[in-house]
Amino acid sequence: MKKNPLRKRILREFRQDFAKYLVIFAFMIMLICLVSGFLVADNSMAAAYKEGFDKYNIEDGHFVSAMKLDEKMIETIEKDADISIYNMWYADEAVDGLAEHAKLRVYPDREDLNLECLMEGVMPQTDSEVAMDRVFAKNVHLQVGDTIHMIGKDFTITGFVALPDYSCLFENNSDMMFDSIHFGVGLMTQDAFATYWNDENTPEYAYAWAYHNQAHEAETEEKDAADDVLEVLKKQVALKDFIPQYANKAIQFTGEDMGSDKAMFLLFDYIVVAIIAFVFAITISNTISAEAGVIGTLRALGYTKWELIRHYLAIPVVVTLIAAGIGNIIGYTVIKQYMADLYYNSYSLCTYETLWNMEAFVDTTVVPVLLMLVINTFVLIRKLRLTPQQFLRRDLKKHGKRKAIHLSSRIPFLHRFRFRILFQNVSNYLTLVLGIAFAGLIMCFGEMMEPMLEDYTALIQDSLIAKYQYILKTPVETKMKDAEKYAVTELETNTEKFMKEDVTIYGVASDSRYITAAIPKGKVLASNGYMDKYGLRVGDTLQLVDSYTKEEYTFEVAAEYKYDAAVAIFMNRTEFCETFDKENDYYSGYFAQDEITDIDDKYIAATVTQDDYLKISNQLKVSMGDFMALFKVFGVIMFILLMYLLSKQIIEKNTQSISMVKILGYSNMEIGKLYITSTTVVVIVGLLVSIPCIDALLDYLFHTYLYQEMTGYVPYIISNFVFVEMFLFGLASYFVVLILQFIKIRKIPLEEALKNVE
Amino acid sequence: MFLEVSDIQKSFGSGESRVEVLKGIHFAMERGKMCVLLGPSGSGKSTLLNIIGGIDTADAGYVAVEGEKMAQLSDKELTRFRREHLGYIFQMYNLIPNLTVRENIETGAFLSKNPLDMDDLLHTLGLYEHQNKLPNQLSGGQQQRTAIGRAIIKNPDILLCDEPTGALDYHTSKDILRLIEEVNQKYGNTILMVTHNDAIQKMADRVIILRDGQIRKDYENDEKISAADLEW
Repeated sequence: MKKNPLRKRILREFRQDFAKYLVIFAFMIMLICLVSGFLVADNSMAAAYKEGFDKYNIEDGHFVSAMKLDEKMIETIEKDADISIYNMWYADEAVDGLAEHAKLRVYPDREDLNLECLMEGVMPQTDSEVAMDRVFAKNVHLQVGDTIHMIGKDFTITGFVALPDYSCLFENNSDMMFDSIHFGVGLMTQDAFATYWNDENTPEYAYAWAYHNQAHEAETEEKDAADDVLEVLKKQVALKDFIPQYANKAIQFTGEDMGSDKAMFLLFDYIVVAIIAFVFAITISNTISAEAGVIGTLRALGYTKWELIRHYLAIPVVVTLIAAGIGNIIGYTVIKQYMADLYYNSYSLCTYETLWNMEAFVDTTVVPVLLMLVINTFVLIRKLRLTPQQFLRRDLKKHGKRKAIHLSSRIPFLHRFRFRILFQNVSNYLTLVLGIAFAGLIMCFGEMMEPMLEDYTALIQDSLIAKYQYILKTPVETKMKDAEKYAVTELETNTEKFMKEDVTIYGVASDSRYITAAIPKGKVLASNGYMDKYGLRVGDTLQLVDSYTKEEYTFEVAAEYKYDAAVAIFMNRTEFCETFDKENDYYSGYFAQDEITDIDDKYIAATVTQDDYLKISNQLKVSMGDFMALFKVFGVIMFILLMYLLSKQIIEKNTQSISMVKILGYSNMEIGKLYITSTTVVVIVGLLVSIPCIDALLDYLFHTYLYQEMTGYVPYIISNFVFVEMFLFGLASYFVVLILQFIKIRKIPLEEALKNVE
Repeated sequence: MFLEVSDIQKSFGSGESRVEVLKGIHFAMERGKMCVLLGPSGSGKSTLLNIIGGIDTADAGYVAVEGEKMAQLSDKELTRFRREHLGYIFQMYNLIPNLTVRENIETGAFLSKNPLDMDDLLHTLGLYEHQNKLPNQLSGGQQQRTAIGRAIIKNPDILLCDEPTGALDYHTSKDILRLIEEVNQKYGNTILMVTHNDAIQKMADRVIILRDGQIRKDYENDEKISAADLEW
C-alpha cells in the first residue's frame, strides 16, 4: 500500500511551529502526568491500605478498661466472646517543646496485632529510644536522630513508623476531626514501656481483640459481632471505651477519603483536554484557510476528503499520544510519589507498591486521544465540506461570500480596526474566554479553601449552640446552673443522590435557653447546613433511617435554624422520647456556657467546644494545602498557555496584513495597538466576566458534586480577595504573553507581504 | 534630483549558489515623473523596487530621496520615511482581508496628517458603491483599485507599483493604468512602475530596461501616449 506523501509535511510542520507544539506538548504532559500520577497513587495506596488489614493484622476492635485485666479474666472473655485479646496499653504524654496541648500516645512494641510499618530509621532498642509516627513528626518538625523530652527524660527518635490502627490520627473516636499537629503515636520497647508505666504510674489499659471467626462481611454483621463482644465485656470489665474496628475513625477514615477525589481529577482531565482540542481545532481551521489553494489543488488532483482529514488530524493525535506516553511515564515514576506524598502528608500510611492501573491508562491516554479525534474531526468535516473550486477561489464560506458587519464610519478608525480583529477571531476569543474561566476556576478553587475554612470557623463560632456541648455515655446529673439537658441520637440519610451520612437529632427542652427558636408540635427545625446541602425547603418531609435497625423516620421541616456546625435537626425533647421510644425524662447530654466540673470524665463520651472546630479547620488546611497549591500553579500555567496559544494564532493569521501595514509605515507599537488591543480587551473582559461565572459554577459544584461526595457541611463561602487575586494573576500572565506578542510582531519581516498570498 | 539611485548592488545566497541580482544600478528621477522599470523575469526589477521602498537593503550603493540617504536611516526612521514619502502597490493587492474597502483605504489615511478626501477618492477609484464590501466580495480590478486608494490617500511623494496589472485581464489592466495615470496627473506623485509588459512603457515619461541586474537601456519617452490608447 502506498504511503500518503503528505505525511512528510507533518514533521516539517512540527519544526516550523516548534514553539507552539512544544508549549502544547509540555502542557499536555503536565496534565497527563498529574492525572496519571494521582490515579496510580490513589489506586496503589488504596490497595495497600486494604491489604494492610491482613498484612499488619489490624484489630477487630478495642476497649479500654478502667483496671488492668488479669489472665483469668482475659481467658474468660476470650472464651465467652470467641475472640483473642491482646494488650494494647498506652500512655498519653505531653512532649516538651511542642505546641501547646500536643501529646504523644506511646505504645509498647507490637508483636501480634496492629503491627507497625517502619518507614525510616530503625526500631527502638533501649529504654531511651522511641519510634514516632511519621506524619506527626513531620508536622512538629522532628527528624530521626532528634531528641524529645517527656516524662522528665530524654528520648532519641530512632525511626518513623506508620501504625495501621492510626492511619488517621484521631486522638478520640468522638473527635470530629483528626489532628496530626497536636496528636501523634509512638512505640518504645516493651521493657522500656514497662519501666515507665506500671502499677504505680498506670497506663491506659487498652485491649484489642481479633475474632476467631473472621467472616463479618456486612456492617450489620460486624455490629452484631461487636455487640456480642460488648455484652460479654459488660459483665466482666469496667469499660472506659469500646470501639469496634468498623466504627474506629483512626482506622476507617483514610479508606473513606481515598478515591473521593478521583471523579474530580478525571473531570478536570477531560475539560482541559477538550479545551486543548479546541485550540488545535482553531489552529487547524486557520491552517485550512491559509492553505486553501493547496487543498483545492489536492482535491482537484483526486485526494479524498478523508485523506486530508487524516492528514490534518495527525498532529493533534500524535501530540496527544506522545504526551500521554511521556505523561504516563512521568506520572508512574515521579508524580505518583508526589501525589502519594499528598496522602502521606495527611495520613499515616504504610509503604505501597505501584500497581499497573488500566483505568488510569484509559483515562489519560485513550480518552484524551478520543476527545482530540472527535472534536477535530468534527471541525475538519465542517471545514473540508467545500468543493475544490471553492478552495481554489478561497471562497471558504459554504453559503455565499462573507459580508462585512456594518460599522459606522463615525466610529474612530482604530476602534473599527480593533472591532474587525474581534469579529475575525470570534472562535479564538470564545475559546480564550472559556479557557480563562476554566483556568480561573482552577485557580479560585486552589485559592478559596484557606479563607473559606477561616470564614467557616468564624461562622461556626457565631452559631454554636453553647460554649460546651457534652455527650454522655450514661445519664448523670449536674449541679451546674446553666447546664441544660438535651437528648441526642443519630440517624442516617436515605437519599440516593448523596453519600449516606449521619444526621444529629437533638431533642431540646421546650423552653430551651440554647435553642431559642420555637419548635412547632410534630415538626422539626433543620440546621441551615442541612437545608443548604440537601436543598431543603420549609414544609419538606425528611426521611431518615436507623442504620442498624433499618427503621425509617419521617420529619416535617417547620423552619431553618442557624447552626452551621453540623447536619442536624432539632425537635422537642418530649417528642424525641416518643419518637425514639425513650423514657419521658431521658437525656444524653448537656448544653452549658461554663465547663461542667462535677461529672466524672468516664461518663462523658464527647465534649464539643469551639476548639474542635478550629481543629477541623487547621487539619484541613494542613491536609489540603499542597493540593491547593497544585491547583493554583496549574491555573496560572493554563492562563499563560491559552493566552499565548490563542493570541499567537491571531498574530499568525494576520502576518501578511501586519507585514503590509509595516510597509505602509506603521510602527511596531502602532501595529501592536491595532492587533493586540482586541486581545487585551477580551482578556480583561474575560477575566471580569468569568468572576460571576466562576462564583456560580463553584456554588453549583459545591451543591451538585462536593456535597454529594462528602459527609458533613461546609458552606460555600468565597472571599472577594480570591477573585481579586485570580484577576491579578490572570493579568500578570497576560502581561507575559503581551510581551511575547510584541516580540512576534516586531519579528514579522516586511518581505512577508511580498510573498504570494496562498 | 528628487530620487537618486546610486550604484546599487545586491546578491542572494552564498558560495557557489550566490546570485548577483543587481550589479550597480545607477539613475536619478525628477519629482512628478512616471518611470517604468521594464525587464524579463529575474532581471532584478522587483528587487530594485523593494530596495527603493526600504523593504530590502542593498549590499552596496545607496538610494536618496531629496538628498536623504536611506541606508543611513535606522529602522524607526525608515518606517517614518515610508510613512511620509512612499505608497506601495503590489501585483497581489495585499489588502487586509477583514477590513472593508473604505477601512483598507483608511489604513493609509491614518498615517497622513493631510490625507486626500476619502469620498472624493472613492469616486475617483470607482469604489464608492463598494466601500462597505470586504476584499473577498470584489473583483481583481476592484481590489487593485482599493490597493491604489490605500497607497495614494496619504498623497505620497513616490508611488511604487510592482506589476500592478500582472494579475488582471486586458480591460481591467487598462482601467488600472488609466487610474495610475490620472493619479499622477491629479496629485503629481512620482511613480515608479515595475512591469514586464512592453506596451506599458509607452505611457511613461522615462523607461529603464533591466536585464541580468544591469540597466540595458534608459531613456526619456518623447512619444508618451495616454494609457487609454495602449494596446497589447
